[in-house]
Amino acid sequence: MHISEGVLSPPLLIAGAAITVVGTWIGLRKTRPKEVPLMAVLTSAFFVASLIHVPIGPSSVHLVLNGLIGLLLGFGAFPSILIALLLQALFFQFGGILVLGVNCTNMALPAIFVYILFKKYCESEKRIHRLVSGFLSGSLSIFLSTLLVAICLYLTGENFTAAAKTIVYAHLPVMIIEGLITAACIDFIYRVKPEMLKIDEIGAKNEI
Amino acid sequence: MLQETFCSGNSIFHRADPRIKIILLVLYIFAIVLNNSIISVLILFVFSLIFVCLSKVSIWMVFKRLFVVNTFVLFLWFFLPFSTPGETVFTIYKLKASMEGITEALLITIKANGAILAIITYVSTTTIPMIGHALYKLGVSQNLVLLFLLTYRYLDVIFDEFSRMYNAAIIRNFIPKTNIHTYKTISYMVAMVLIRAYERGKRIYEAMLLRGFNGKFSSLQQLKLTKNDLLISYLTLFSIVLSFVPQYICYLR
Repeated sequence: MHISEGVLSPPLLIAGAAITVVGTWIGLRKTRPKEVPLMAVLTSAFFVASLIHVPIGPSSVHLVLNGLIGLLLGFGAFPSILIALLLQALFFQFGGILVLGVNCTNMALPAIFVYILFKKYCESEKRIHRLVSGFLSGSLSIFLSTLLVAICLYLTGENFTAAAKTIVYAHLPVMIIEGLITAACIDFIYRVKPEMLKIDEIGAKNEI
Repeated sequence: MLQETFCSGNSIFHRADPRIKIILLVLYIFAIVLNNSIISVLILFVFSLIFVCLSKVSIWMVFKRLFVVNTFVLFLWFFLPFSTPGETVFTIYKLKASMEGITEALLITIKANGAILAIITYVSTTTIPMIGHALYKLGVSQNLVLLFLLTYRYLDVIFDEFSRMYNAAIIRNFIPKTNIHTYKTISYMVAMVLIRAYERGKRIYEAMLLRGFNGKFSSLQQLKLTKNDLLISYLTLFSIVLSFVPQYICYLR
């Protein structure tokens, strides 16, 4: 899902960087130094989760969990994903530096989208609501992310269309797995530590 | 588990000021992205290789990294030659590979690899805390830098926590397969790691507060510009200017 450096055209890179700057600014605006350690440890947890490989048939996929990041952190998803991607670029050279904005936008916009759509159902008392909304946020965020990647490739040139379509199809199984895992995680967190679903409200209130 | 493979060493790149390195890297990658002729991009790629040699990092490790990174590029190679209209070079099962498509795929390959080599020489030769410090000095918001540094600090801790849990599951005969049981187990492990991270995050803030944390970011390391920094700046700017020469010549004709 990481687009490599040198594929996209400069206007796209600038657009991605601009969206990332604005998103990160919004995400950090309400965050005080007090909440930074909490966000940081959760970001490293998501980074570690993205190293987990889940078996699917003869192959395996690694988790992305941007839907879960969105549901837990809300608008904090932008800075969190930005830092995770930056560390990936520095540690493993995945993605790149100039393309960071585009990659971050592709992952974080869907996260915020599912946060706005499904957050209130995740805190519902009915288990079925939590499971269904968790599944939908997990799979929808992956679908939208791949769609954004495909759109970026398509905007680069007509001849990228075949590659763009393949990316979307190849991620259909990932969508299902991400949906299942996000649903189970949300349900588990609701039962074990319900106050954790309120982190996205930090900054709005005075106490964590 | 997470090692900064390239950051230990002593070369002109390791000794350089991280602020200068970040600025130069951005300029250099801009040059790679903006150039669209094979010759210009090749010039930059050759310079990237020279920089890698100058930075004295393990060439073997660098090639191992390049191999992993090239999966996305390889993926494009399966499509671009066949989906770009143009002069046919060869045919596989009615699929015509065009010269233009191959050229474009080649261009992307050189660009991507040149950029990766540049990232390795410019920033992967710096420790992450130094990068954070440099970003702060370059005007990145304090909260973001703090987020960056603390995330880096707790990666290993959280990874250990997850490994411990995963090993415990393996010892109890957990065999990952394609079934609901596997997905459920893995998601409960992920959720548990998140919950522990949440609790740890709160404890960390309290511990930081006890040690006098006031929301400010400070570092003991002083950043100074030296002749060394001038040297790598000249080298980089020279390579960037040189890469634009072929285009300029074409323009004159």
